[in-house]
Amino acid sequence: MKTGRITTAAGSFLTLFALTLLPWGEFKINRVARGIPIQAMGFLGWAMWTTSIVVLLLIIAVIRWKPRFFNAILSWILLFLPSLGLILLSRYIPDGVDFDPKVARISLGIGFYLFYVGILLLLSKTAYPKLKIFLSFLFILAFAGNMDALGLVREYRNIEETFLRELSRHLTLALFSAMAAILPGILLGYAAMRYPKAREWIFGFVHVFQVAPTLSLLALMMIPLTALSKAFPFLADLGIKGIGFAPAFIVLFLYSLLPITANTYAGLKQTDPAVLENAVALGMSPRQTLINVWFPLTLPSIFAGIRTAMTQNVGNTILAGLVGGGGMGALIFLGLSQSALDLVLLGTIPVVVMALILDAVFEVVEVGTVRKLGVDYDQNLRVE
Amino acid sequence: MKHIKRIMLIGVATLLLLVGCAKPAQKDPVVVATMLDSEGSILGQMILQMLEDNGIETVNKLNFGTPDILRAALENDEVDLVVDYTGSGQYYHPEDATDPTIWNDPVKGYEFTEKLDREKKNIYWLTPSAANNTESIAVTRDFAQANGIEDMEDLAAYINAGKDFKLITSASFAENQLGLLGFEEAYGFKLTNDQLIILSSGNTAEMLLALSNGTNGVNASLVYGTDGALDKMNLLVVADPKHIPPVYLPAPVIRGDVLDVYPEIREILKPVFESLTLEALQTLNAAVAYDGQNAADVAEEYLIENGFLDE
Repeated sequence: MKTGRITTAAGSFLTLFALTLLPWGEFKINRVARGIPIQAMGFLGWAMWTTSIVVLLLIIAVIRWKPRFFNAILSWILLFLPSLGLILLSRYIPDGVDFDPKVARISLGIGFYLFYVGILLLLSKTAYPKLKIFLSFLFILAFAGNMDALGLVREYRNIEETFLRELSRHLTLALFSAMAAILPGILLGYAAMRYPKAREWIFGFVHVFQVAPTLSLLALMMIPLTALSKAFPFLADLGIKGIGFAPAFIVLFLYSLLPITANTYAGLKQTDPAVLENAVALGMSPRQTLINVWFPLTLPSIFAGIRTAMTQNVGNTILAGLVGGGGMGALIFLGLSQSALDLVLLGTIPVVVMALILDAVFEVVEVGTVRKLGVDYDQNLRVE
Repeated sequence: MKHIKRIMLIGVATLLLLVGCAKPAQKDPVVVATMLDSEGSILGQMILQMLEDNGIETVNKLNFGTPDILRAALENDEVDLVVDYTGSGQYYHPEDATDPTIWNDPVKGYEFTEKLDREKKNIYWLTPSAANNTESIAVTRDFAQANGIEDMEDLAAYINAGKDFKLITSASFAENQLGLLGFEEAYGFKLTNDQLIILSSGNTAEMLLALSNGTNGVNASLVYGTDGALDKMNLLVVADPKHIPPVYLPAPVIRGDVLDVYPEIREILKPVFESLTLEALQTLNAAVAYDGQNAADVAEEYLIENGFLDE
């Protein structure tokens, strides 16, 4: 209950703070120019601004005194506020500034972001928080057509045709490279457990890739891959070349090994020896012990490793954009090369959202699978 | 009679064979790739649209990657047609590029790179644009007027008088004999470390923003000739009468194998690139990088306006 109250207080504070003091965006006369900050009062106008503060104060009062009513009805209305704010913001036209409406744009500022975070905090302690958070984001996407003046929308319009293609390329690259690492990762973790002498070698191997900067690893990968594809042309036909998909895939695969290997090893190591002794006492062969006892008990830990690998991979895949592998990185680096921060954001936001969705989906899969195998999650964690 | 039949048969067979040769069953589409910048988007779009208009199928790989990646991709047959800059030949054939003076000459630099790429790599440089996308130093218009700076001689005098000066530039320009070091030698000045802000990348957008905003006291920046920022941000290029940095003319560069299949590409692209003057490229770059217009639209508009495409 107490954390709930702190969260609500923080959410109330952030939303009010954003509405009163912080700039919600910047009005830019072109893509790169320095913008004119836009306060909430500026784009809402006096009357609407005062109303929205009063309404917000009322909502906060309801949360405090009538939490049930807030939970059941008001919180669902709250989801609309960020998208509503954006629509109004994108209508803003500054006084006395000479600009070309086809070129001028509004970039989002700290005020909007903190307002959104505040709303999410208010929603997070109600029923179905994840659904509501997802819906609030969905509404922003749904109403994007009414936010033409936003820099993000402008940038999207420019790359509409390629956006989805790059997005799916990004996801494919991130997911498949992590999936390819699952089996080798588990085997390496098991080998490290089984053969203590090899342990340092195995962990040295997987750590090297984690420490090496991704970009230099990509560059290093190009040389042998190019030589390979030249020596064996059939490899080139399969798409294994020094540039593009193959080096990105291999590097991401190597990155995914560490979390999976380390978690498998840690999980195996943590298993209660008494449980294993019991298994032997019951007459189980070593293989039976491994498959029926050890592996299921380690599964939650392995899953956590796979989850880390997947989420981390979604972020790392950005670098594929530099080596012709495509993905969101292609947008981000193009934006950086032109100091077009809206384009950089347009590439970054989907990466963050993908990572969050993936994490949430994986949580569901994880809990489901572990239950199916008959291991009680909590009990396993409580093994002493 | 038998003979005539046989001759006719052979004739028909030859005819069929010729037809088959003239139109191979499958012509692979041309993979067009460019660098990660606004010029790469615009010139790439022009190439795509011109080829498509002439019935050549293409694959769009614009904004493929960094310059070195793009070149590697071309050499490894990963892409077929790219946009590159003539001065880059010094990095592609360092063992032959022993005479640095040829890079300051638009014709010699092009011919040198063209010949070596053709003979050693089976890569063909088509007709370049006349717009020199070379490295220069830019200052704000106000600064130039206040201090009477027009060319590098003036700037050297200003620096040597010990007045406030801070240049933001890329590492490769700062450490290059055909870059800052060459400027210092030719015009007789020397910048200290605290007069320099060196960025690892050659991304001038950030530098020009710093110059325009005066961030950290920056009052000079590296700039490329075709940059659209100059006019938009009220900046001036400091003239370089001794032509120190290499000449960089953008040109379509194509693999020989692909040019053999589509020899017409040479003539399709020639008039387009010949039409691209420095001012034209600056305007086009500004429309994309600063006005945020769609590169495909900007390219199409230019091609139609100049009569290369029908409306």
